[in-house]
Amino acid sequence: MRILLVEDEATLAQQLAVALRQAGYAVDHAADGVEAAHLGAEHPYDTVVLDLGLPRLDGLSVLKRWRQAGNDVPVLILTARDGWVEKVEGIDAGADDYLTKPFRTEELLARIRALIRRSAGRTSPTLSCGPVLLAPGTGQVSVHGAPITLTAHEFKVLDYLMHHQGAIISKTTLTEHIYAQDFDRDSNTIEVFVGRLRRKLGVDVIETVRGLGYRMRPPAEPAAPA
Amino acid sequence: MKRTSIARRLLLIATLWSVGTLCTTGWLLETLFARHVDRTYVAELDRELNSIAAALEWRNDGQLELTRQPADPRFDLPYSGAYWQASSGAQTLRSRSLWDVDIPVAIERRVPEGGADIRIGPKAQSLLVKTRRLQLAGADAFVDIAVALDRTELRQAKRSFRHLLWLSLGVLGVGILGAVWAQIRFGLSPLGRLRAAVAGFHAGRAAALSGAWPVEVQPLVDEINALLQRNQEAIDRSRRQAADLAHAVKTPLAILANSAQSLPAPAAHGVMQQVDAMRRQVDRHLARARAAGAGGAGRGSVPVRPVVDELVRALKRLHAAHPIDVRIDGDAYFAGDRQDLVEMLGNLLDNAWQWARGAIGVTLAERDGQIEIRIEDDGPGMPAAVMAQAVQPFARLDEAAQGSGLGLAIVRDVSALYGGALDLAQSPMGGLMVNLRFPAASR
Repeated sequence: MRILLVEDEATLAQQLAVALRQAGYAVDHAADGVEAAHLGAEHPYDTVVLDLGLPRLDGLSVLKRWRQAGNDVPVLILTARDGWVEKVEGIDAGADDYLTKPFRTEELLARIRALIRRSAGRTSPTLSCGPVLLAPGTGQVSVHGAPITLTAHEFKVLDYLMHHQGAIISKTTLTEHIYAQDFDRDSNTIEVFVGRLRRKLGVDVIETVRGLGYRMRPPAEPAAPA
Repeated sequence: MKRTSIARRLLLIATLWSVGTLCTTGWLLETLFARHVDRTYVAELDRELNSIAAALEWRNDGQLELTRQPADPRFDLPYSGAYWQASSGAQTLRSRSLWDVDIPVAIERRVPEGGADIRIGPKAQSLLVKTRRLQLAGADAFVDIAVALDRTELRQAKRSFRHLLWLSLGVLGVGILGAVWAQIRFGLSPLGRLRAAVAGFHAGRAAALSGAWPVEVQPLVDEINALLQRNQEAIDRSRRQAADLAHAVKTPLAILANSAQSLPAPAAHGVMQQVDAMRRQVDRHLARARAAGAGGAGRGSVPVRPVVDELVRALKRLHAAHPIDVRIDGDAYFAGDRQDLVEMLGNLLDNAWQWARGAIGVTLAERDGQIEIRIEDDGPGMPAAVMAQAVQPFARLDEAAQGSGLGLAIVRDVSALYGGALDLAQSPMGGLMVNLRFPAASR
């Protein structure tokens, strides 16, 4: 999952980026409104954490610009402004959640998880696909109740596929959602991650749709040969 | 102090001078007319007297004789009201109308015009009498001539004139007062418009008093507008400062809280507690700094229901994982700043949402010059001890009341600026019931 972090205070931005990466997200950072508007329009983020008081272009304008352009990326406003008038204004501008500073990191992470879950149309905090269970909050994955260990990138791929079960996900999409903008991308590595995932999971839940990408679904349904 | 009205004052003055003027005029006209009528009657008496004096002669046998009867037929009609009489010594000649009585000698009253007087004649007639003593040719004896006319006609003339006079003056007076009233209405209409404009501002329909005003009123309007603007600017400035302060304090607090997470657990916990305490203090004081209060320029008549609707819409999004059924009954108008109302209701609804199991009730009512806003939920409610503590002014925001405590404290602070009352009770729905009461908006 890839997150755009928009925060002009350098220290806080640094801390948040670290916390988000530790939680398994690919993080892009924008320090002003214009950069944020541009990044948000150009890249398919799974969530945006948006400060309101930004240099060059304020956060609400950035948000309105995205919404007018039909961009419905989940947006969490993270701001020092705690008045209800501002909260209502933020929500009316199209924000999906609103968190005021100071905040606890766990609170922020929990809300981001909920936003991603909601935008994928899921309600349970734990994702399941047949025998495979994934808890985004703790990063634990189990198959038939037995925990398995994944690397950060394997987890990101599985997390994205689990969130979008049943849909065909191209390699490009996967790349876009597991790597940050400045990362040296190579779509061949995706095949490597998927191969390792299939081995570690030991069940046939990731299907390759030739020429299009991957699709994750429970093994009960007849799966095409890989 | 008794309230004065300019219109009433002007009307009173106009009534006094117009009634005074009309009465004086009436009295003057009546007097002049009476004098004129008297003069006409006396002149008629003189004429008759002269003709009788000219027709009187001494006959050779020493008898007095009227050689020519007066033309007026009334002198021949008994008790007709027109009489003449001429007497000398034992002799008396009378008009036939007198029959055989005399024109009385007793004078009732003198009339200023032409030496006439008033006497009571036969059949209690009030007579205007003129007398003359003369000597006729051929004798030394004096002859006393008296001519009398009944005053009934004269009095009737005067009376009908008086009626007509006062009737016209009355109509004139009513007309004048009507005109004065219209003039006052028209003259003072800018003040009425000013009052309506101020009311419109109060009701939140306008931000300032606009339009063209007469030169007498314009300075007042300008001054009111300047005052409103200064007031609004002061509130805006204070809100901006509060926002700047919020940013200046809370971002470092967020950094501090994040930094603390790399500390060993007990230290991190300690720092987080302090950060939370600071956040609550800052939130509460900033909320108070932002509040416009009852003296705010934005004071208006704010319909409460749209504010509740707006907040519920936002809260549904904020608590998307926690769907709540919100029932809103009634409506009310809040006399004050909209932002203050949003702040209070936002805190109360958010609290209710956090505690509710599945339903929130909002009841808005207006009665006895008060508006009542009741927000209740079906959550676990609040222990009585905490309830009592939470409504104390300047209550400490204990861990015990956390979650509700800060919001309630802010609501209490802001509502106090409007002379509002906040109380807590157990809701029939099961959870907490918060009652907010304010003086109603005057509409």
